[in-house]
Amino acid sequence: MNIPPVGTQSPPFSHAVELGAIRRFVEALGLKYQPYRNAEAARAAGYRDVVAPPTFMITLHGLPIPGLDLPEAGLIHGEQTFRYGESVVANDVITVVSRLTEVKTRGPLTFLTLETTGINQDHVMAFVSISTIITRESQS
Amino acid sequence: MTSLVPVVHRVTRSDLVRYAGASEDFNPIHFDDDAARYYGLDGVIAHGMFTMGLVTRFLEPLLNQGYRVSEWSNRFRAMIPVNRTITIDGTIQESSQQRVILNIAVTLEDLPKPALTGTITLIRGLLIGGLATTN
Repeated sequence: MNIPPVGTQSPPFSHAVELGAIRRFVEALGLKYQPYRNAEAARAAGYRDVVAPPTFMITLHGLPIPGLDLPEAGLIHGEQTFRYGESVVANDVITVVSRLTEVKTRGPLTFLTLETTGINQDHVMAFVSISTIITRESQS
Repeated sequence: MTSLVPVVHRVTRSDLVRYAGASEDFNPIHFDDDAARYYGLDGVIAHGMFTMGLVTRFLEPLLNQGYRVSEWSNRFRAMIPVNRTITIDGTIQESSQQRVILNIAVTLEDLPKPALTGTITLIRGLLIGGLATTN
């Protein structure tokens, strides 16, 4: 395992948000809210197009953070926070950057906080995703 | 505001396979018992993000009233094994025409303490951060 300095960030990466990806996600969770499924219902509710559900943002991940090398096994997702700005809808292009924002150790555990910010094609903030990852391995 | 209704759901292996495909999270501990045992688990467990995603179902009555999620924070407190029944429930911490704050909990059928707890803020209207961006 290797942990780079706090503040280290990934190069930007742009995700094209596909209607099919939103549909599969909505189906996998069994969601019924019509604006997640249907463009007309989405527009009637004030969205620009079929809208992505809140936790879909986890799929819009950043590129690897340089120098961050985590073990493949034994990672625990401890906490997750999302803050939302402009809705993410089908055919948006969301550019994300991930950043290591905090490293804490408690006994044998290491807690890493990773923050991913997504900006849409109009340069409007779409979301911030804050994930706390816990690992038992110590830094080598 | 309509009252919130708990969501009860049995987590199946096919749920997890579908979620793995939809989220592109192919960690085998979520669909392969051998892999799960190799990593010290009794068997396959749900993705934390699958469970969090299911909570969206609990929010749907509010979404249908024009609210949308502006902030959502939760802690994953226990693993959820496959073939177990979970209950998603919540209490209203604050409620107005413009904003609802919920405390939510996901509990496993046979565990006294919740497997997931969190706070969700929903707001009504499409103006976020002063930006009107609907076309």
